[in-house]
Amino acid sequence: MNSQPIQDTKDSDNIVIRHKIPDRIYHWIMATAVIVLLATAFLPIAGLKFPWVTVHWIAGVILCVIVIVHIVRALIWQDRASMNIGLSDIKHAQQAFKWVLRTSKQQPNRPGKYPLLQKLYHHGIAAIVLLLIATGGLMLAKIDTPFWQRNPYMLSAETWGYIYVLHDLAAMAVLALLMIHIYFAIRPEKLWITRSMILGWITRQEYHDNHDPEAWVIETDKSK
Amino acid sequence: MISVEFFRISKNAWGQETLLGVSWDLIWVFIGAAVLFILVHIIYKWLFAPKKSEV
Amino acid sequence: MLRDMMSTFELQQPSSVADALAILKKAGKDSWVMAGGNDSLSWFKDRVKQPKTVVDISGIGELKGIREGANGIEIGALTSLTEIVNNATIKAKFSLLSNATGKVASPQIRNTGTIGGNVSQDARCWYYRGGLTCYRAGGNTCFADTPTAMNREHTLFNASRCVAVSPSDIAPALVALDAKMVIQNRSGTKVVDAEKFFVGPAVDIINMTILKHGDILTAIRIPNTWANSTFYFEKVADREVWDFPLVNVAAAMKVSGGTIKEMRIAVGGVEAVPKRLQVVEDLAKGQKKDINLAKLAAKASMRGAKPLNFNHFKIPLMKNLITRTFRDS
Repeated sequence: MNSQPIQDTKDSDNIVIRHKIPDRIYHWIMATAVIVLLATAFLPIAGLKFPWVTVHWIAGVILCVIVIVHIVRALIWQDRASMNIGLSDIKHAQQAFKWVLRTSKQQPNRPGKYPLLQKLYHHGIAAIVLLLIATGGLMLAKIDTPFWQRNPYMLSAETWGYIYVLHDLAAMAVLALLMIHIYFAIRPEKLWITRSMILGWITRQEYHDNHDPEAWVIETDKSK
Repeated sequence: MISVEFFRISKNAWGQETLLGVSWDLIWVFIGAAVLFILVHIIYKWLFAPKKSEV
Repeated sequence: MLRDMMSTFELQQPSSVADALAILKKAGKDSWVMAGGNDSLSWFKDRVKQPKTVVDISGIGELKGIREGANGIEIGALTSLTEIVNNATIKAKFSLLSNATGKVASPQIRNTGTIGGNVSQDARCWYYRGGLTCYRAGGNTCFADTPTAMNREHTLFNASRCVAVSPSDIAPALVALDAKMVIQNRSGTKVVDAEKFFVGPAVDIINMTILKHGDILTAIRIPNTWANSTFYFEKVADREVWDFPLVNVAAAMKVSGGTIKEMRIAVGGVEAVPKRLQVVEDLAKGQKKDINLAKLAAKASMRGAKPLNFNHFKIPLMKNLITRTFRDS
């Protein structure tokens, strides 16, 4: 750990950009879409009756578009390696296990930009959201929109049943994962990460305390 | 005793069954699992997690 | 399909609303409230609905009869349609209701049918009634809204996955008269505007009214607000008797010196709920009741209409009924 105490306040020389504006916009649009989708899906089941279908499918289309934008941006312009799970992550996980079980006194090494658990969460929810988009996209064939007329006979009733099973299970999994996500976002020791998703930056102190500067080399340009 | 059905299956007038989706009761299983995870984590962090000073 | 072979069920015949509510609670969700039986028995005989317990409320005396009060009339939910047609007070003050009720089905059905049952009856979609697992039956598909489906009786307005329509002749009349529905359950009594009593598939795709398990519609109150107004009711069906409406219209107007001061108008058979035409009401307010207004109102009433493959004929039909409402009332 860095032994040099660094001023823990925000000024332009003392901050590190963790999430750029496009990434934050993406995150919050996606969060809004997911919350709207969950609310319009589950509140009517819970007994709160309201016209949910149109809001649900429009939020679903927005989620689909923004996920595609994110995938393209991540593959072409972003640092893909920062989200890869590699040997160093496995090593960190081993160290963390030993430390937690108190079989080792050595504190685990600091991760790069994203710790293993964040990567696992991201990849897990990404797979589930992609499943929701795929199954939900098929379901759009069953409703009339300004763009096409419904065709419920596109697939057999049995196939539709399997699609609904996958969609329902994935939606419930997202609900559970969202609860866990919000829990971590509001934990006191994680608020600096939450702040970075709102304001974009972390302090240099937080950077040095929580990240390995060799694994996450920060950009010299401080512009957001 | 609580019994949870896993699927929603409809039966028409001729007795034919159609798979409709997953039982909505499972929502509570997922919510319960998330709440359990959160509680276990809170207790772990509060009572068992090694502090950085323990290094 | 097996017909006239009901599955077995436990029959309960309470003599009070309190007993009926207690039985419904004990029997759980797999129970069914039956009044006149005209809707219920066809479901049972077709074996599409197979409740474990049937609560026959037809013996509850407190739910029968027409009572006149200072603010209007209260009609018990089990009052027969024939009694409503023949009631002198209703004929004199609310002829819209007696006219609409007189157009329901046939004399035999009006003798056994109740006003509560008529407004609470389920959709008459072929596919739903035929026992297919459509959205309304809890499934994931509408069989009536496909390129080859038989949907000449179905919706013009506000379909949301399901395209079934409200089949009641009385419901539009109650909306036009601004009636209040009295609903009782174990928590107490609530009074709901007729307009809010009916729900469309966007909100609830399985039920056509707000009645939930454990609720009983006990009475319908008609306030004096529209008593002795100018009324108009017309129903068009494939047969003169014993048929459901293709389109029906019910209107109440306060006319003074040839000018419409205020009006309420609702149309049945074109949406899952009786469609109140507020655009027509706003248009007509303060206008001379003449053919020009009639034509304009007919045109305005079509706003948002979205016919299905085989029910385009409902557009000119409904327009003509709106025109006649103003011309012939």
